Amino acid sequence: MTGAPRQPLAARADLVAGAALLLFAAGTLAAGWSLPWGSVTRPGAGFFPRALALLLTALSLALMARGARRPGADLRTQWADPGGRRRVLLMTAALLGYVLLVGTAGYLVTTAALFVVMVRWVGGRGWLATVLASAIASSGSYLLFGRLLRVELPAGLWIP
Amino acid sequence: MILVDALSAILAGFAVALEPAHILYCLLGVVVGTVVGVLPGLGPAATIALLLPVTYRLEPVSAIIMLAGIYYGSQYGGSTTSILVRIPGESSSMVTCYDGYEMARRGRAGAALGMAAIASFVAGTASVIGLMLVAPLLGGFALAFGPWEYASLMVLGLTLVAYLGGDSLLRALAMAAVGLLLATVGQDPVAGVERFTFGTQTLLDGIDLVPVFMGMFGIAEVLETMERPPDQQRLATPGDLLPTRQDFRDSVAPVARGTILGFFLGVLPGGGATVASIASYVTEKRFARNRDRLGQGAIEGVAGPEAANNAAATGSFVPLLTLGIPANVVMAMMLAALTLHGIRPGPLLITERPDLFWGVITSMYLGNLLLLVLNLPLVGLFIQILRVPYPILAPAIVLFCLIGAHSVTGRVAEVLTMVCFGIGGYLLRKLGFEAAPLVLALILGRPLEEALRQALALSQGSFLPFATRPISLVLLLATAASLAAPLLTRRRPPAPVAA
Repeated sequence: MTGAPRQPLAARADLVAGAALLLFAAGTLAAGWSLPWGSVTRPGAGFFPRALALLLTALSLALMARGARRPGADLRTQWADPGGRRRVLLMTAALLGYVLLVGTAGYLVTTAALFVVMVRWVGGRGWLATVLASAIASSGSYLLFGRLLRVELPAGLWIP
Repeated sequence: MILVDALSAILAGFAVALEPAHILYCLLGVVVGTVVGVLPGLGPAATIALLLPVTYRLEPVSAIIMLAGIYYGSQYGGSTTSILVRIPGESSSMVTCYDGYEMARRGRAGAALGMAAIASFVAGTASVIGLMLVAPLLGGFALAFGPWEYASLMVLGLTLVAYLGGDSLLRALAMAAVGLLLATVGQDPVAGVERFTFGTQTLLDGIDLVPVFMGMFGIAEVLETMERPPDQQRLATPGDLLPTRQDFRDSVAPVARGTILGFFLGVLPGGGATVASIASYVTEKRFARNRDRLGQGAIEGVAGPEAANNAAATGSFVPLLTLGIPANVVMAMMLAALTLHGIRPGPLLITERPDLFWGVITSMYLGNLLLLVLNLPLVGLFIQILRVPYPILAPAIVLFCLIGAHSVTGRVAEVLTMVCFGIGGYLLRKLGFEAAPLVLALILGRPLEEALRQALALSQGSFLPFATRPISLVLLLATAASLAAPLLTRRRPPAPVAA
């Protein structure tokens, strides 16, 4: 085995994950500060959250220590492919956009738009496949779930 | 004499179950159950709630036969999407993702789906027989469970986390801590104090399991696949349709272990089918003949958990029918259905309504047979899904997840929760974390806190009853054994330290 590959601290998976979890733990501690603590023999509403946040703090510090000592996975190689990064970001944006718009634009329009983004730009298929998939999926799922199975679908302001 | 009585009761039960109308409702139930199981997000609890008003017009035996069919039928269907696209249709098929999907990736989707159906059938049938023989006995056992025993049982369940973390125990523990923390969101189970709700209605009821596991499994999986170059996105080519002779030989012991484990875990309140399937997977990781291959497409990892979740589904009828205590949400729905028809389940049910008690139980035997006949031919149909190009399949999977999350409460907020957990789950996966410990901790967190705080309140703050009550002591000893076992057996020759 040759020496450890040179790797900046910021690219080490355990270090990054540990830091993120530490932030989460600190946030929980802060947000739950006013909850009644109780005691070990008579725990109150705040006992569990606080004890768990402290446990998570310890675990994330251990993760960070491990990440600093041993290189582990390199984040730069994990997200090396620019095309892949673009697809992931686009899909993330499409999902968040869906949540944001579905209450106004309605299920049919938003679902069709989601399919256009996913099939055409994330998936790289032609326009014919995109339009067909988008039309069939949005109207078909609406009829199957909304009408036939009577599942409650998100409704828009003007159209379903 | 008792044997003759039981036999005549079972025969009378079959006479009830085999009435044409009852066969029809049984068939209807298992078909709906299979569909509900296949569709991610749409679970048996929601479906039964939806159908409750419909069953009001039916006579009670038909209604219960149909609703029961939905529940155990959903355990058959739940594995389908786990195996084909690595998205569990039900949380109880979560661990089937590991080996089932790996098998599908190697062109063995048909074998995995076939074995899931066969294992479900064997376990379902065996536990119906178990239900007939030991229902009254086990009912008493469940009654001996106080908050001390629940708390100990939940702690034992949490030790399963240690086996679910892939190659790093530290990461698994961190994920479990996050899951337990997420479980504290909402009204606190004892005093009703609001915790981490930030004034929102959605968080008041806590974080629902469905959006979390659909996000972390469904959305995260699609994100990760989409990141790969298009030529590597193809899932798998459908290969052989049925399990091989070797598959059957490898699966006998896992199915037997999964059935027994699942049945008893199903009888106990709290965990149910999900915990049973995870426990079975962990058991196979330790005892299966090919345990080193587990996680890389071993049939044991499908056969064991799928047997366990079906056995648990059947087992959870024991406390309901004999004591009137629902072991999980679905059983609570079932209790509502029974009460709706003016039936009070409890120790007297067997003598007061033998037609209902034995009719429903024997119909489950029939239902399992129907499910096997129904599901095996469907295998050939389901694997055709893999021929759909991934860019078209991906948004369809996403759409199922979106609909499923929304159907939990009918609020868009649940969809947002799911999307957030999807993005978070994708990032965690890239960082080398597994989602399963988080999901398990989220399931067990609330009942653990509730039981622990109730127990301490009842014993005036003393921890002594945990050690003096025999069942609790046994469970805690099992916890210690579960924690110590990997340390004792994992003494391999020191591996060369990776640079």
